[in-house]
Amino acid sequence: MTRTFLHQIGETIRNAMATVPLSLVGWIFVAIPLLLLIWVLRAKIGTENDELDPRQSRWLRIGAATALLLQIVIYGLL
Amino acid sequence: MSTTLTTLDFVLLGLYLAGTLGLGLWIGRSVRTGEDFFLGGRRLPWWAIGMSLVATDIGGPDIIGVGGAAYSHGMAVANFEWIGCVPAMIVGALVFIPFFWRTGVATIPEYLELRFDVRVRTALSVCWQIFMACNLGVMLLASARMMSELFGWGETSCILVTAVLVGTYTIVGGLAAVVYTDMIQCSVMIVGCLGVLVLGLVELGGPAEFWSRLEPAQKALVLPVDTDTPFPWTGILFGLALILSPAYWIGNQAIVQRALGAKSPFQAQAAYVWGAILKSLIPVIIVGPGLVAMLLYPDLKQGDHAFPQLVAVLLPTGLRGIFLAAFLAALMSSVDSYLNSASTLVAHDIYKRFINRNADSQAMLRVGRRVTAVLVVWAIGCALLMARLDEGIYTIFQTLMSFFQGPALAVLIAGTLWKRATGTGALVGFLGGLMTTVGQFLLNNQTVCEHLGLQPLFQIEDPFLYYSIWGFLVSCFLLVTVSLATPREPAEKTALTVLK
Repeated sequence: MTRTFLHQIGETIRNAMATVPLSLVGWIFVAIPLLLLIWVLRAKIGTENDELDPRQSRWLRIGAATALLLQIVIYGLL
Repeated sequence: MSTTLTTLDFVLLGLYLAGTLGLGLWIGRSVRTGEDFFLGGRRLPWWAIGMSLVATDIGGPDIIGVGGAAYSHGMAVANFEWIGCVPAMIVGALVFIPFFWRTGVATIPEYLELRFDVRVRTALSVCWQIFMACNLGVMLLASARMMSELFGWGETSCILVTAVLVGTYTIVGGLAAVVYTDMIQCSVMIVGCLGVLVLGLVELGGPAEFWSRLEPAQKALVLPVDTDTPFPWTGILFGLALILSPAYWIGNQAIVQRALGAKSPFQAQAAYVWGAILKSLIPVIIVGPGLVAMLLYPDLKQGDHAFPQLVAVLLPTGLRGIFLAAFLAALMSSVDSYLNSASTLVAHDIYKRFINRNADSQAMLRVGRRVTAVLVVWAIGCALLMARLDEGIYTIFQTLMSFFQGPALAVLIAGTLWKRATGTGALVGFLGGLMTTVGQFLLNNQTVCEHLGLQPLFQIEDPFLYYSIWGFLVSCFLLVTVSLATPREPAEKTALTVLK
């Protein structure tokens, strides 16, 4: 069975990825929802032309934060 | 493995089916225009859309398949519902969905014509139409096979009954009927699967006992690169979380269409956020039973027998009927959504764009209903045809269908975020990405590799997550290169179609 340059590239990437410790990967899975949570809490929800009132923005922020917090807890615990 | 149903089971199942059909037909009385049919008259509330999003995403085969994957590979399959959904739904809710809603489009390809040109719109739309048309047959057949195995019913009867039932209320009621029946279907699905989980946990001695008996590897969500499952962390992170999931939640017509039918941008956003919260809980009721079966019945020949085994052994009379209703609910909620969205694509991107540009609302309603009816017949024919072919054929179909998601995401992201992206760049990027994914598939196919004397390109069992990564990257590269080499799009075109 012949191997092409594509196999070589794939093998190199695979070997490089295999050196990343699983514990670090676990933290990356926590960091993604965590960074999104920080963004959700700081971001301006809605634009200048938007008809969102402050109460609607607050509800969206709370809902989004709840969903992301659940993810942080799940990936943090498991 | 066939499960016996009693009269009570059939009564409960009949009540569910009659209720769903009745609701769909009742909603159909208020459908009078094309906008009513395709977008629910833009009057849909967030709570119904959110549940509909969840129900559409989980088909009948998914309940059995995900439970089966949990039985075979442990909890890592839950990544598809968690990191593979929630982050993309939140970004979609806060950034992309309100933007698409305000453009006033009915389809995502329609937005791509506003942003780029008709070539990009048509290329994307045709891919989605082919995907949805084939997927309808695949969903009907896969579910009929499971019902046949579970309850000993004939495959052809299952295909015909399901298609006619779903087709009837979708033709009459359009998107509103789809969304409101999905809401009931989502509830029934949750109750049915939760019943299986609770009885399984009781049999095991409670949640604490269940958790303590699982091996650490079975509880792991992050699996190494050289895992013998299809879920290495590289595929989950780069392929699923960063590409397939955003492509699905931001670019899948069947998903985005219901948000476009919301009463306001806020309602569309709230629907996605509500869906994301529900999504966080779904693995508990779908993955959980697979893990319970792994502890109770460790010697099953196939993972896909996990759910049927629990149903056959643990569920008493009445609850079996509820589980079957849940299974049918999951199937119907996906089929009705794809029927309605496929007809929307054909009516808007083909009929109104190329055949009758002056089609009024009544004409669009008639076309929408006729196309839906044709799609029902097509889906039945497709399912019956595939039933006669080798089982591998429709598995290949499903893989082929996922090929364009990475390239489509590249086009959509560039279109919404990068003013300098041009129509020619988008078209070349999309087609180049598509060729890349197809090429990878061929270079990984056993028959092709044997013929060419090559080693398969990937080392894991089902590398569709990796196809999407490379398809996306090649698309991005070509899109950027060609866009920079071609003249800018006019400022008036990008003014309202690029996010600020």
